[in-house]
Amino acid sequence: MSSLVQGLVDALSIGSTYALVALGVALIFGIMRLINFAYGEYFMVAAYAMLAFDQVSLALSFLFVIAAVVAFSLLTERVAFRPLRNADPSTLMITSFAVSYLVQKVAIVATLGEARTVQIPESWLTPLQFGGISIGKLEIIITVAALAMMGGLNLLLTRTALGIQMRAAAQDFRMARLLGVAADRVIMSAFAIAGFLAAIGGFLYVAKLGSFTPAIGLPILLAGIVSTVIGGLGSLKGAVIGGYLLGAIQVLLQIILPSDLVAFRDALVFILVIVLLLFKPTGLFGSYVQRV
Amino acid sequence: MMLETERLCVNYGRIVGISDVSIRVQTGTIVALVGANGAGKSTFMSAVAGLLAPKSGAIRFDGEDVGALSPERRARKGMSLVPEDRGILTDLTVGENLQLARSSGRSDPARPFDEALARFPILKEFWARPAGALSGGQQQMLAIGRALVARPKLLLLDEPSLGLAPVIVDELFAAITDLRDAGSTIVLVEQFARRAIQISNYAYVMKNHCVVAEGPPAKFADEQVLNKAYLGGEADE
Repeated sequence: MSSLVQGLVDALSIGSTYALVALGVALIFGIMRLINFAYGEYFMVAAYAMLAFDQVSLALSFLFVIAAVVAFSLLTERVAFRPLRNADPSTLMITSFAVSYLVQKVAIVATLGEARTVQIPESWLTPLQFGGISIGKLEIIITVAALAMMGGLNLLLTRTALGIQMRAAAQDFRMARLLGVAADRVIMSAFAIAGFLAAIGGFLYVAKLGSFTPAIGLPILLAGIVSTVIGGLGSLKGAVIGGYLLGAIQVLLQIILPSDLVAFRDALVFILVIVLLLFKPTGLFGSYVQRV
Repeated sequence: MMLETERLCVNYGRIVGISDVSIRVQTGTIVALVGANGAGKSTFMSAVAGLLAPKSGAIRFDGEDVGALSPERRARKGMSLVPEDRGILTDLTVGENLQLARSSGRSDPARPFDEALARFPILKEFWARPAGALSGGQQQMLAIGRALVARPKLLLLDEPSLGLAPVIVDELFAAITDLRDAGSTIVLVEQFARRAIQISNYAYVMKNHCVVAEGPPAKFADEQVLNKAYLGGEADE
């Protein structure tokens, strides 16, 4: 019973992290048709930003991480992606690879690639006890924070003028502009929100890991991209569901696989994804087809 | 003068889109722009709205050179293009489509939707429905209603009757005439050349990327004149 509940909580918290990454990827893809491979580096920036104030105050550290990652996200938009706004999606994607490599190599040079450790309040790490079942507190924090952000994003997208503009731009950028929607404002908003999601997601992810290297972004980016592909590129709902599905499959395989096969867990996950795409090439909720 | 283009040329790469198109649209009039498929009418409209960059020539809107402005800047200055595909955002509701038109910053702050809903009551009824669930005719009403929310100085209608049932087309032309009578300035691109010219104050005929004939509707009253313009060459003066 205890391990079942813990497995469920693990699946939810891992799924929540993936869902946040996938949302950030899907949001930018929806508006710019950019698959942003530099998005993992937003998490890396979050990790290093945590080092600045983690000894001083948790709240200060949290705010600084948000400011740093949102600023970094806007910077990548301004410097790397805006000049290529009308380029085709593959050019944008390759540019995002370049941004990713550049930032990661700078981090490796600056830190010699060594692992860094962050200070997390002890109280976050003590598990909660529910009648003999212990559940990690951080896992609950991650899940609640992710759900709160998804709720907030949903409200923003459906109830505000900016949100309606963003959804319009995601469907038909040309028409949105003809109606007076400012292209720069909508794109910068998408990057700011994606940065915000990465800041919170990164903060909690690093808190859970406890330490990190400059390579921290890659696995999380991969999970985010796979989640959006499962859910269907361009669909925000699909990104969230894809994230939770991926988390659930990973945890499930972790539990049911014999110990000598656990090492092949991710290989099995990707096989499942390939099988899904064979039957549903646009993902579960996707409609995006590359326009030729 | 609401709109004036001067020797406007637009290319798609090496392919000519329009060549030397000079058109004048007086405030408060309907100007019809007709011609066969591929004559360059939609290219002209896209260039005026800012979707295509001109190779050369000038676009003056309400006395200002807008040739270098982005589409959204032109929308904010009071230009509203209803494109050939209508540009309905099918993932959004009817209400959200109308709200989106407030992005131009020109709509009435107090009662932004009154005029559009009064003219097309069906939009009120379907307010909360996904716009993708509307029929073709209803989508066209939404497209024009959305333009009305933006209260444009100049309404650019590209093939509004395309794919609509004849009875809906009648309503549509009546609505366009009403709008002009209420003071709007309209450029109307149409496949139904004769009908468009009838309700216009002035008409241009395009062929092979160029304007080949122009004049008031009376000039085209004779079937021969329009046919000749379509088939080629300048109609006789």
